Amino acid sequence: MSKSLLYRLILIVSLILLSLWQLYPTFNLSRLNKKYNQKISQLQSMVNIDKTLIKDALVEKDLEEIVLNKAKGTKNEQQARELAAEIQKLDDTVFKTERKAIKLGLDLQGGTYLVYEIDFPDFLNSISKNRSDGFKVLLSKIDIEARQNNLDFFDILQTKLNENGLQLDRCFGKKGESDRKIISSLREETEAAIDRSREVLVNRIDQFGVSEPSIVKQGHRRIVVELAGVQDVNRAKAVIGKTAQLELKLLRDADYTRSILMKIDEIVKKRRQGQLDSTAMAEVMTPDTTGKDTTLTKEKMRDETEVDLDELFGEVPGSKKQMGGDTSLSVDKDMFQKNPFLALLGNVGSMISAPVQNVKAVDIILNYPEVKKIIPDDSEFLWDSKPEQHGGKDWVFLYFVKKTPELTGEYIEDAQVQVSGGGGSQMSRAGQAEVHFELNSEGSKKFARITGANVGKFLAIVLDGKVASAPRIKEKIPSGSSMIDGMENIEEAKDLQNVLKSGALPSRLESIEERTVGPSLGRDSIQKGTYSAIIGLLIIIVFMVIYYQLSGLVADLALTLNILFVMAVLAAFHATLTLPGVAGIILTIGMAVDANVLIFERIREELRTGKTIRAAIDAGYGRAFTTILDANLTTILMALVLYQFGTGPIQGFAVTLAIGITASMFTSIVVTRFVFDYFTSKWEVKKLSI
Amino acid sequence: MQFIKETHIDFIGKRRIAITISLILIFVGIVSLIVRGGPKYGIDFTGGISMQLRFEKEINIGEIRNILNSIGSGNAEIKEFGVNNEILIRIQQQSITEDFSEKVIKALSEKMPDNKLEIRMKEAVGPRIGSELRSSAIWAILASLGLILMYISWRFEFKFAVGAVIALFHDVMITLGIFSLLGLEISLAVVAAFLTIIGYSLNDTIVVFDRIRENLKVLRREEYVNVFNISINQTLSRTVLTSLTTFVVVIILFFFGGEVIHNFSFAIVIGIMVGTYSSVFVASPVVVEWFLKKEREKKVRR
Repeated sequence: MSKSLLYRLILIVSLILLSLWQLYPTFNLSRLNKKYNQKISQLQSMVNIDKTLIKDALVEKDLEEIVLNKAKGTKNEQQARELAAEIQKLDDTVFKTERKAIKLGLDLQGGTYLVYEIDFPDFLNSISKNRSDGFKVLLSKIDIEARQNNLDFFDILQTKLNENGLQLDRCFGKKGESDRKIISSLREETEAAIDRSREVLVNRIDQFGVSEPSIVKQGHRRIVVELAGVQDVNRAKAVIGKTAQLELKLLRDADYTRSILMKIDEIVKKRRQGQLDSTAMAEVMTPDTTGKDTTLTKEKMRDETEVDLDELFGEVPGSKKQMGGDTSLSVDKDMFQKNPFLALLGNVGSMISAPVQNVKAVDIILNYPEVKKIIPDDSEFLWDSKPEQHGGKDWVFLYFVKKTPELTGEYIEDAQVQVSGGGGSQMSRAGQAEVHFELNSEGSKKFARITGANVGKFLAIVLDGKVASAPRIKEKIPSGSSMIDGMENIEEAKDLQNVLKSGALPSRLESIEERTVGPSLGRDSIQKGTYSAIIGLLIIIVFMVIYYQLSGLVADLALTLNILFVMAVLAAFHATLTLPGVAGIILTIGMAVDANVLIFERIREELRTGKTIRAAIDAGYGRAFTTILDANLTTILMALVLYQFGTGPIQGFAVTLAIGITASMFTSIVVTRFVFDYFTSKWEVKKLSI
Repeated sequence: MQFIKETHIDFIGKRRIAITISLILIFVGIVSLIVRGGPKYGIDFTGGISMQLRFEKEINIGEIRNILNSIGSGNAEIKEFGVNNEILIRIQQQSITEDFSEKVIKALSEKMPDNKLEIRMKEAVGPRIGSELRSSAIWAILASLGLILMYISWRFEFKFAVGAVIALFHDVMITLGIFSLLGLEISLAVVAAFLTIIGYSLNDTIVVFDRIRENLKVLRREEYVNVFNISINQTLSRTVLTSLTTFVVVIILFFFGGEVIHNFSFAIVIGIMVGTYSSVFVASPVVVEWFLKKEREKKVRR
């Protein structure tokens, strides 16, 4: 064998070996997984243990302990323990192997792709000096305008604020600071907020035990979360999307609250009668102290009736839409004419509340501009997070609280789920899950001071703008621990514990894209993809042999190696194989033979002109080379564009297409050439089988 | 074995007929696009929710429609998905923050308690993302055409680049037209298919161009039309073979690849046919016309 042939042989063989070595974990993984699942069901048959519990324990690395506790005293105690240890070890191996194997895309193994965007206006409002709903609306308008004109938000912020009669340094930063400095620090703060959000999400998702979650920042305001194989997507979404802003707010005292409600009632009444004008406004502003005899003091059960929304609001276009279809309200019959707003409310015990169906109507009223003027700037109305049953009806409590929180969740040090033993606060029932949280020393000091100064008052624990509970402060609490109850189940409590521990998001995250593929569809796709690939490959292989005889066989070898190399490269880079990626491989199968077709046709042509076999082969390869290069380079160019343009699955397609074409250049030129050269050098080939 | 022996087909001579056919096809497509008010964009581009649900037992679309009507989503599009226990529900919706799909699933599982459902796939795209994706899709196609123009101008000549890009544009327009005629939806994957078609068709075109470039040097005495014809005939065997092998695999993908990539593979099936046609009948004639025009100008000057 000549030197050149030998070198080429070494190159090809070592590439094949390298590929096989790269692919070994991928092949091994399915075997390991099978064994792993077998062992787990074996363990389950021995010890009564839930599968999710096993998975949790494997993450915490305490499976052996748990199994031991469960199996203690039974006859297969020892066996179960050994099995648990074995599973733990296997889990490690699987984990390590997974990292080296080809990763299946979400569309093949099932999973969820989520895109979140930070609520810009909300975030900037929260860090601004003149935090208010009105300012947030203005920021939203600027944001929309920036997007519509494809401008950078910060570039137009200053001009837009000026247009609205606001100075930048009055809204953000220090007074007198230069505009440029303020804008650049705002940019930094936003960037930091995204980074922080991402970290919080990483912490929260960690608790799920998802294998290889991907949480990446995209651009300046987005976070892309990819969760593979998550069973309960809604639960994951609830945890991820929760801002988890915990605030402790003092309730306003009852008399004050009542007076505000009466004023609102007056406005609604006037509005109903269509008499609201500026003089009436003034009248409304003076508190009405005579109307004490209302729902709030009445203890009797309401004499209920149903009225339609129109009776309250009149034929207001749009209000029906705001209510979302169902427009019937539950009101007190006697009161409705005299006190239309108070009639929507009721009281359970000493607290104000409203029937569930009235909540939206009350919200609409609370957002009337004239009502907003009535509500003092330092106070706000908040709903309870969950309805409660009283007298066969679902009620939601309404709280009137001081706007500035006494304490926020940033002081939380630890949170724990506990199951209530009953007693305790008036609302907790035995067996219910509660989340207890501990404050750090600074928080504890503050908490002690607040509780000490407000004994007898109610303190609302507010989570994301909804009141989780509002216990009365009985005495000064020095320990700095408190709790949230009313969880529907342990899972919900666990999730709350998770989000409290991992901290609050700096701002609301808005879900703007979600793509979920169920595991069964993923399995189908794998099956169908593999099926198509195999049929395609077989047809091409047979066709090539029929058409080009022995040379066809050489091309088939090249094709097979091509697929091997593509898979190996995917494994080496731990790249993701998606369904379009599989399609890319299949397309490559069709296109990879193109190079060989080009070469073979050229060789045939050269042979027809009467060249010798050696000369024909040389000319064939030589002439076809530039063609192949140009044709393939442009396809790779397209793959690059595709990669830039697409997300997830489509990028997978672009990647396999590009790798496939690159590999095909090697296999169809170098590998087949080697075979031809080898045979023509070894034997006196009289007639080329082509 | 050999399908195509030496051929002497006058491809270039038939360029007027070919261009007429192409123009008619493109025209029909454009008319369809205008009548239907633009391409039928999927939720990827409009924003909205699409769900693929599988039920345990057979289902009745009418019943599902009634249930959806009862929760106020009468505008939902419902269609059977291959088998009779699987459906696709699509709702165009302005915001995905308030998740409507939850409501749909809840209503369906409550009203049909003895027919369990499984979510096979769910996609929710916010309108903002939708419009972003739309512009990035258009950009991707334009950018790829631009890159190709540059690459071929560099490797060949500007004339060739223009011929190739016109051919590619032709392929995309015809495929788009066929999608519009059949009422098929343009999703993200279909746009990816368009880009693949561009890549494939270009591959084909370049092989022909390459031979033309080679022959222009060798056959200096020949008329341009003849050089082009000879080149196309010489590469014809390869063109047919590669188109055939690629066509076979995408047909397999179309029939066996599953519903998920149905539109994707359909677009490629169409694209490969159109792309093969265009590299012979569109790209080369455009370049020939250019050469002939130059030649006439030279003669006039003389």
